[in-house]
This record gives sequence, C-alpha cells and structure tokens, in this order.
Amino acid sequence: MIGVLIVIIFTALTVIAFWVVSSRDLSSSVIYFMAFGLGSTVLYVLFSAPDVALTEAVIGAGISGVVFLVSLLQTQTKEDT
Amino acid sequence: MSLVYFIAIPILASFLTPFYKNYLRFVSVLVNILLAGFAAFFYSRLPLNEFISLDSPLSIIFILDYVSFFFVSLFIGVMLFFSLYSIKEKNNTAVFVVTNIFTSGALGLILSADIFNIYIFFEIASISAYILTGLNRDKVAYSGAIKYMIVGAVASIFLLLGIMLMYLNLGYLTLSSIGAGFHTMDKGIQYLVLLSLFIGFGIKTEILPLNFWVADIYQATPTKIAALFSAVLSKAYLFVFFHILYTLKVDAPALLFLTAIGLLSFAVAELSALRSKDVKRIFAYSTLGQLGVLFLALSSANVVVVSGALFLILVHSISKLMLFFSLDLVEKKMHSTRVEAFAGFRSAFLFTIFAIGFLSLLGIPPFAGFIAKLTILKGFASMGAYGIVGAILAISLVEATYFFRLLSANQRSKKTAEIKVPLLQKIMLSLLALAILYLGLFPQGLLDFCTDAAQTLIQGVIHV
Amino acid sequence: MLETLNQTTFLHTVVAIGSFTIFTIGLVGVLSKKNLFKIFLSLSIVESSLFLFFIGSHFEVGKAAPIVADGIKLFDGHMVDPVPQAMILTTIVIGVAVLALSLTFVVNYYRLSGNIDIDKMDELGEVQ
Repeated sequence: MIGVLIVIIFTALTVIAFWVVSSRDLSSSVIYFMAFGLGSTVLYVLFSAPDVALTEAVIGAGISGVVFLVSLLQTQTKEDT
Repeated sequence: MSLVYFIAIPILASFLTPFYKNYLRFVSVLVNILLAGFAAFFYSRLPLNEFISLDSPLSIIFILDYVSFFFVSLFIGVMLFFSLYSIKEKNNTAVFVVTNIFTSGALGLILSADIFNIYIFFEIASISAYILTGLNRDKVAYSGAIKYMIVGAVASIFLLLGIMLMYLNLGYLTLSSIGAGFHTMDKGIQYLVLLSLFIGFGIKTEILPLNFWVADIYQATPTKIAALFSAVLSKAYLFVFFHILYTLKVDAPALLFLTAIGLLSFAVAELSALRSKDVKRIFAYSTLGQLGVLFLALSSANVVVVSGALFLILVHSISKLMLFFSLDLVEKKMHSTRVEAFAGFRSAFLFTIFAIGFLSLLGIPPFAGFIAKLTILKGFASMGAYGIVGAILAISLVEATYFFRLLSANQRSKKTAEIKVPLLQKIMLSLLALAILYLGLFPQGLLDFCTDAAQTLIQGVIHV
Repeated sequence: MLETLNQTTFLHTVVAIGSFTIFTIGLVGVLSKKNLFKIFLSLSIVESSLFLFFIGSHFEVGKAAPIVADGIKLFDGHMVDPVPQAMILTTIVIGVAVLALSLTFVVNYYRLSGNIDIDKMDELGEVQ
C-alpha cells in the first residue's frame, strides 16, 4: 500500500514541479510551489520522518510561500514574460 | 579553553550589538584582539582535536593542526587589521555586525572536521558575504547581491549533494572516517562525489569554468569589503576544498585535472585583466589569477610547492589588502574606479603603496611575493614539471604588462586631484608594506612553519 | 504486483528517479528562466528534491520513526536512521533564511530600478 502511495505522490510532485517552473502566471506558480511543499510533507510522513514533515509543512510550504507572495505583492508583477 | 570560542565570540559580539550600538567598532577590535590571544595560547598546544558529544562517527569535531592554525591566524590578523583600519567610521555599525559573523563563519569553516558542519559554516560565511555585497544599498549593489545569491545557491546545492552521497554510501560525517572509507565506495559514485564537490567549491574558490560572476561581484561590493573577499573568503573555501581532497586521498588523474584547470584559470584571468578598463575589476581578475596559481600549486601534492602556495596565500592576502584599501582612498576622492580616474590622482604615498603591492604580486625581489613564487617554481622544477614553470613565468609577463601600464598611466597623465591620506590609514598601510618587505628579506621562519603546515595538509585528516 | 511495490529496493529506485527528475526540472528552470522570482522558485524546487532524495534513500519499509517514547529508551534496528532527518531539518531552516534574504534583495532592487528581469540587469560589467 505504502509503495503505491509513494509512487503516486512522486509522480504528482514531478508534475507540480513542472507547473511551478513553466506556469506563466507568477502567483499561481507560488501556489503550485506551496502545493509541492504539501506533497513532500505527505512523503516525509510516509518515509517515517514526522519531524521533518512538520518542519517542511510550516517552513518549507508555509513561510516560504508567504514570503514569495508578499514579495510578489511588493513588486506588483504578475506575468513572467 | 575550547576551540568553540573562535566561533562563538565573534557571533555573540554581533548578536549583542543592541547593548553597545555606537561602540561596536571598538568591540570588534577587542574581539579580534581576544581571538588573536586565543590563537597565541593554542600555538604551543598544536595539533589538537576537540570532540563535542556523541560517539566517534557522529560527533562534532574541531581540529586545529599546523595548517588550520596558519589560516586561523591569517584570518584573525586580516579581520583585526580591517577593524582597526575602519575604527573611525562612526556610522557604519552594519558593516561590523556582518563582518563579525563573517569572521565566525570563516573560522568555523577552517576548524570543523566533519562535512555537515563544513556545510553549515559554508552557508554562514556565504550569507554574510551576500549581505556585505548588498551593503551600499543602491541599484548596483543589489543587482550584484542577487547575482551572487543565485550562483551561491547553486554552489551550496551541489556541495549538499556531495555530502549526501558520501553519507548515503558510508554512514559517516567526520572527515577522518570518510577518508578511511572513501576508496571502498563504487568508482562511479566516487567521481560523482568529486564532481559535486568540485562544482560546489569551484564556484566559491572562483576557478575557471565557474568564475564568470566574480568580477561583477567585486565591482558591486564596497571596495574595502572586496579586499576581505579576496583575502579571507576565497582562501577559506580553497583551504577546505584541498583539506577534503587530501583527506579523501583522490587519485592522480583527478589532481592532474585540477592542475590543468588552475593553469588555465591563471592564463584566462590575466588576459581578461589586460582588456579591462576598471581598476577594481582589474584587481578582481588579478585575484582570480593568483587563485589559479594557488589551485595549481596546492593540487601538486608536493611539500615544497604546497609550502610555497601557503606562503603565497599570506603574501597575496597582504598585497590585496594594500591594493584594495588604497583603491578605496582613491575612489573616495575621485568618485570612480575607472583607469582614467586612477591616472588622475596625485599622492606619492599611495603611488608607493600601489607599486609595492604590484611588485610583490609579480614576484620581484626583495618583496615577499618573490620568495613565494620562487619556492613554488623550485618545487615544480624538482618534480621535473618544467612546462608548468615556463607557463607560470610566461603568464606573469602578462600580469606585469597591465600593472606597469596602470603605474605609468598615473605617472604620465595630468593630475587633477591631490589625495591627502589620513594619518591612521597612512600608518596601517605602511605597516602592511613593511610586513611585505620584512617577509621578503627574512622569510626563513615563516617558510619553516609553512613546510610543517604543508606536510599536515598533504597528509590529510588522519584517523583519530 | 503490489507486493513488489512495497519492497525497499524498488522504493529507493523510485525515490532516486523521481528526485532526479525534479532536480533536473528545477535546474533547467534556474538556467532558462529570466524572471528573478522564477529563478528563486526553481532553486527552492531543486533544494527540496535533494531533501526528498536524502530522506527517501534512508527509508526502509516497516521501520518506525526515530522517536524515543513510551518505554522505548534506545535507537535500535527497528527505527530509520535519525541523522539524515536532523541534517535535513537544519538545511530546511537555512534554506528559508537564504530565500528570505534573496527576496529582500529582489524587492529592494525592484524599487530602485523597476526591473525584475535578469537579462536587463546591466548595472554591472565592463565600462565602454
């Protein structure tokens, strides 16, 4: 069971990573990035590393996403031209 | 007495800044004097290891042997000089906050003997370097800092990859255990680890295919801070890289590759300097060139050559401090570092300082650079590598061309501004010039120490 | 079929291939994208892929999390290796610090120059 989950999540993460890099809209890029952090949180739990999962959820997905969003607002850029 | 003080004291001095906000410049001088005292205290107790917590394969280890003592005292000396030199700058608290953290990062990088701590201090030193780059708070400084951060992030990613691969395959973090087990690893993995380490440290030691960013960063950085990058930061990374390489006992082809890269880096950097029209960039290229020579010499695994390289590290640090600090005085007066601005100042004192710095870097007697280059060339000659000797001499001619062009530009052109050097700066710069002259005339004591240090470096960190 | 999916060696292969793919995607992003935000996003992706690789490679099926509690007093063979997890914790925190610093520089640079494109950053370079 755990094997199936890991394979599915890894595939999903690859797709999300591609979206983060290729998306033209910057704010949706950041949202995808936060989703990426959430996916890796689940993976860390499956890898029996709950402490890393907690840190990744709070810092990796939460704080970095917020930092990105705030600086996007500050610079008023939307499109990656 | 513990080696941790070397790292803890400067970082504490920074974090406690709110308590003595206006006096931080005096505190930094005190901190550096204190560190110099520690270094003197440990000198009679070399070599020593210090273990913190846990069992051998996982403990945090600090090592102070001859070669790391050489670097520790050099860095403390440079930072002490820097803080004394800028002691009159009242409004520059930010600089001292960051330079103290910078000191602690560089010293930690030298002292730590397990790869994960090396990564941590690598990051601490890099982060303080990023902040120092952006310190001028204008467009130029920020764009330099952004470029530096992108390149630096790539470097730390590859270093982390190397560390992870080593831990995955060996299950150790301490350098000595990794050195003992490195050759039991799969051959392909070995080369992958070496490649990641080369990319990680190669970016930071400013070596050829990875040094496209360096001149820009030096240009963006405040001139006095650029001296610190040239004298401390790149040397720290250089030392750690070769410390790891010699501990891993990498095979001859890998070392030969590094030698070739070093020679190429030297040649390309000096040729780029020839084309440049900005004195700060010329000094940056000259730093790149000297780092190429050091790379070439350190990868030779020959005691004489490596001791010459260590001597050259000291001489280069002193010369670059002189050059960048004098350039800072010129820049303050002329508001530019272009060659035309450089040609226009009039000051017999600064001209002498520049001349001594150039001659020492070129390796002209009686200055200390001569002894360093002579030792390196003698060592290569004894190895039978006459091709390298010839190449180094030929490329040094290129170096001589642009140095003399700068000096003669200043001699010939019409002077527009007279620079009055303040007394403190005059004394400090003369001290450096005297140090170069002294080391050139009486090098024996230092050379002996460098030979001991070179033996320690080539031996690597042995199993404790 | 599902049994092979649960084997440790197979999962290690999945981890290696998956994180290598993500690593490559991120690295291509760093090298090809012009927008500064995109570059730093890609760098974060590359870093995360390394973390996944390191934790995943130390995972073995059936082993518990390395937490000493409820009468268990020692780390033993029933737990995964705790050292990588401690390392990754530290690295994640360092990573976010560096990220915040770099975005600060980006915002400040934008305020002064109105530019967010790395190709248009021409303040530095050889003077003509």
